[in-house]
Amino acid sequence: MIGKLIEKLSVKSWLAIALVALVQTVALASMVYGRVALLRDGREIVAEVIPVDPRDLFRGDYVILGYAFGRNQVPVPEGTNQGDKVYVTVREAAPGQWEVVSTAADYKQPSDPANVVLKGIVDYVYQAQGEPPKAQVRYGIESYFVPEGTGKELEAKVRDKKISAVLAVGATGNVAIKALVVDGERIHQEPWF
Amino acid sequence: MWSYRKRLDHDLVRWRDAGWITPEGESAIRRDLEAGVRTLGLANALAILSAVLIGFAVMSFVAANWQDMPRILRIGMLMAALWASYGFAGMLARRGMTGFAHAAILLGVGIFGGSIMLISQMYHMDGNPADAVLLWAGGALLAGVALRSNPSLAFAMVLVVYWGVTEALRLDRVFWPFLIPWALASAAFYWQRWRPGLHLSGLALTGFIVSLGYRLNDGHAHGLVVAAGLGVMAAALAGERLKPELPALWSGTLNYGLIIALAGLWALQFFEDPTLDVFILLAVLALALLIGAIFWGLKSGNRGALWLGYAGFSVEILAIYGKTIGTLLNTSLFFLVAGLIVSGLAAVAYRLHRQDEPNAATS
Repeated sequence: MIGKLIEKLSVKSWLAIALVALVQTVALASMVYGRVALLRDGREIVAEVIPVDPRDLFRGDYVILGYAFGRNQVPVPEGTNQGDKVYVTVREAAPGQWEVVSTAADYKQPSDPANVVLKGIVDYVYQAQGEPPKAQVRYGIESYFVPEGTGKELEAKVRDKKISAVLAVGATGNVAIKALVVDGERIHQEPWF
Repeated sequence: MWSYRKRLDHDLVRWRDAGWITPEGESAIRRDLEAGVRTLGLANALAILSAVLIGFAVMSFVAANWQDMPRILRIGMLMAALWASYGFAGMLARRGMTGFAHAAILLGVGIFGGSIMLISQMYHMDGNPADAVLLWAGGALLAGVALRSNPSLAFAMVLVVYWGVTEALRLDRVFWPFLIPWALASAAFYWQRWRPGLHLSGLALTGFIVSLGYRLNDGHAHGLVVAAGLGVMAAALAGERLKPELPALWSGTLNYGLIIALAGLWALQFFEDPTLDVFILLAVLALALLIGAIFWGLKSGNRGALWLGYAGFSVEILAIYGKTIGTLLNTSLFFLVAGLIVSGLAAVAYRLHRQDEPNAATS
């Protein structure tokens, strides 16, 4: 396992060590910064959450969230494959109820300011005979992590109540979860940093 | 390590007999080798394992207990841990404890990966997990190259394979981008002249090529796999002629080509359900290839090819028996013909060997 080793450590090697640590730190920092910028600058929308399986909402210490605009009925362009990126335009039909208007393979600025474009990845494509293909789409906002040990408590709170997710939508369709709303009350909203 | 000892053992005897080293010199080398193996080998292995364990311990403790801390403090802790482990690696290396230094580097790489996951969790990022693995692999590769750390490079290759497999399964098609990080990690292994790493590369690519047979052409591209395997073997033979100074590389390449060709042949025989004529033709081809490998292994001293040949031959015979059982006439006839051919080959080999022997004795 151990082959050629660092023989003698000179200034050059300290530089190499600093370089590795620095590049990795920058990678982590840019992950955080990208997310914070999205949360801060993104357009805020509130979308109703559909429990994926009401009895098993809190598995471990995260919630699985489903959305009306993600579950297996999203019309996608012909020839869309599993794993492809898609841009889904949604519109708020009733408060918290966002419906799919159209889907495209490339990002296009919505002409109507009421519309919001979300970037997603196609999970599965279904196509019935003679019908346009439909897909299940994931947006990266399907998991919400809660502090360890509070899952059950939150589950009790959530039972029979409506939950919504507060989302931040970026200029290129990236989406992030800001907070959850249970019965009109925002829970677990943390400062950005 | 063990193979090095064995080789050195051989060489020492040869060097002493040739008069190049004194008996005192030989025993001094042996003592040094013994001491090195006993203390460093075990200690370094344990250090690597402890790095993995400590990495897991730190991550799970931090993840479980930090909900009360503000996010900025958590991020700061992760980054401090990252810098501390690399700094520790530098200190250990400076004191000449290189094995421990590698363990500390691996710990740093582990903390980098843990940080990616914890930050994703902190911000509820639920994107494609494979992207996170690729970022981690990039960090491991950087540490491996910049700090010349083979354990990190090996870990990078493991992550690249994991990434490639998850993406291929998620996209449900051949995932060609796998080849890019694979090539980068393999180049690093070659640059380090680290043979176990190159074997890791060989295994990873072998798996990729064999998987093509099940992915391309609606999952029936095993003929292509056989051709690719034979191509790799031919390239290895040609390489041996052109650049004979790298014998280990070529013999290893040849063996991986053999594995690829056999995997393709086996899929054609036992997965594709061919007609009997085609099956017999394929079985004869596979047996011929295996006998060729045994010949080659004996002739060139490539022990890998020799053992692959023996093992493959036994598996092939058993598989043929399993497949043709019930059609007794065919089975016995097949084995009779195969037995006659092989005994004929044995006779030829015996003659060749006899001819070689006097030559070897005189030269």
